[in-house]
Amino acid sequence: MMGISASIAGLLGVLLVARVWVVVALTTAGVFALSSMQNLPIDKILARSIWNVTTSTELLALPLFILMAEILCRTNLSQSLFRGLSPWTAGFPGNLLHVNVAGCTLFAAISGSSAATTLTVGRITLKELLSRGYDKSLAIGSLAGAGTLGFLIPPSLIMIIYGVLAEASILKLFIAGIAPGLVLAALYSIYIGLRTSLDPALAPRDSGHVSWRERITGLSELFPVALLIIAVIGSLYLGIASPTEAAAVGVFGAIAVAAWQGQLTKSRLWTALLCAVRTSSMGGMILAAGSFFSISLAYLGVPQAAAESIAAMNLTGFQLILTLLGIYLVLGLFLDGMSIIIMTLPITLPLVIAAGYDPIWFGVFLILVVEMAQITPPIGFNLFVLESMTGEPIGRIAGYAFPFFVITMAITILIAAFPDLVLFTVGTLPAGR
Amino acid sequence: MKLNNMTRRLIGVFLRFTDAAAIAGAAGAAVSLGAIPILVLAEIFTRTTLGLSLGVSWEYATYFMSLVFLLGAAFTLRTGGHIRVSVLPLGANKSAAVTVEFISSSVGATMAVFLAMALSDLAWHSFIRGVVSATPAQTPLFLPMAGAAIGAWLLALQMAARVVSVLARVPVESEAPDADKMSIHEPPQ
Repeated sequence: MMGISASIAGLLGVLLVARVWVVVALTTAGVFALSSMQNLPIDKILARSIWNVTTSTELLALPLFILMAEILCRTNLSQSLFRGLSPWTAGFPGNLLHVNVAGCTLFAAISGSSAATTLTVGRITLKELLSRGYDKSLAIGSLAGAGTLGFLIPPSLIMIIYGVLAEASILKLFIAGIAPGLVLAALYSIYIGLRTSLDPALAPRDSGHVSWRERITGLSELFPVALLIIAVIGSLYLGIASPTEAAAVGVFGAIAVAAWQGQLTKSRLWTALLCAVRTSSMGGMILAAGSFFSISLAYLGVPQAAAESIAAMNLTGFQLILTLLGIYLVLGLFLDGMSIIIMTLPITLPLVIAAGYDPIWFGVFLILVVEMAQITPPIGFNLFVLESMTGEPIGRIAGYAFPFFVITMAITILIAAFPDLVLFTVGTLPAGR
Repeated sequence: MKLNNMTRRLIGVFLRFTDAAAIAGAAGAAVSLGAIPILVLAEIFTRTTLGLSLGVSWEYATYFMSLVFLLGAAFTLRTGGHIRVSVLPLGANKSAAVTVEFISSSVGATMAVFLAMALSDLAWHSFIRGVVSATPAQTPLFLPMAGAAIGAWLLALQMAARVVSVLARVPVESEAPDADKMSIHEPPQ
């Protein structure tokens, strides 16, 4: 068993290093794994698993939330977020730097992607912050860190993928992500406040007084976002809609926002559809290939063997989670978050469940790990987004984001020690959800 | 590699065909994606206002999702959307980059053909056995399965185009994720 497991892992590693696409590498490794057993109809297993995943009802929310975000990215939402939030941050230590955090938190609640969140919010805030003399490292670092909230605050594309693979409730995952997401956002803001209080040169002081009238007027800019958040998350939480129905309502809401802002044209809608097809196809195909890979490993009994060998090490639950955290951090240096989850889940989920952890909790833990992977070089999607926006080298952006990485790491260890910090929100769901 | 005029022309025609096929697949995927929220919203509307279910909304929405994933896969590859790991420092070494691209594209083409054949086989057996969905609509399953198989063949075609592009030293990817702006392959020099 060890020999074949090592061969599969080795093949997967070689393919990935040879720049073979993750979807192809997973399929090839799966075919290789099954071919080590005699008389298996590999083509039938492959076709059936691809068909089952790509027609899974639970996955329907994925392309819909992607489409919703693509439509919103083509509206004036980033400007609205800046105009609506900036009067409220005046007077706080760090001033407009908090718009990065608050803007990402709000946009995360209507977009499931961390890259889309970073791009949409950063498109307007970075230019404003840098032109007003804010410290570059804090402006870029806070955006890189806060952008990762796109994965934790629902709706989250990675949570949908995790939910489908782990056969866990996507609704419960969404709800479980809210508290850690808000805590992280608050900690990012506290860090910004502390840094700028200790070194006031990092953030220029307010140029003038902001009246309550300006603040209230600013709120009206946030009205479409607020309405979408209430429609999507509110309907989910109250049990009015399933994740897929909420996503469909979200698409309708995004189209309504675009129309209201005068940004809805046939050409923009078509481009949004094409871009959504591109992201959906990437995610859906990796998920399908990952599912096939997982089935292949199950045929060989790899997850059970891994569980037995870990059990023989007599680790406590917390030690196991810390070990996994270390492994995931290393993987996060080289792989994107979605690939990490899909490739490792067949092995790690049974281990974690056997150690007494809840799959919903593990989902949130993995999302936090993925968030860290987003801002660690050489492969970190948020770093790529910010590199294209600012022209700064990846390594320097990663350095700017490092304090936010440390904060995320601290929260990850905290929820590992106290899992109820994540699960208590799930307990507040109305009965039967 | 020096190519004669005829070979250059043939490669140009092949690459233009694969581009057009990928764009056609993307258009089909985009229309399918647009159909999903319409179906789900129609279901919500009829359920909340008329108290009845359309019956086919969820089922057809999942078929459309399958088409989004598979029909869009070739376009996604062509526009650099599929994820790959970049840990090899190939920046300056052009011949090493070409070799790695050739190997990865060849592995990709082989696997894509295998997947396309497997999905075609699934659709064919579904057709000859007359398999229908386990829903009141009793949809013949070979129809959506055939759509998925076509998507896999488009992906295989685009992978093959990539192998040819690497050998002919023409760009393998279009930068714009937008079919309107997707560059058509220039004939190789």
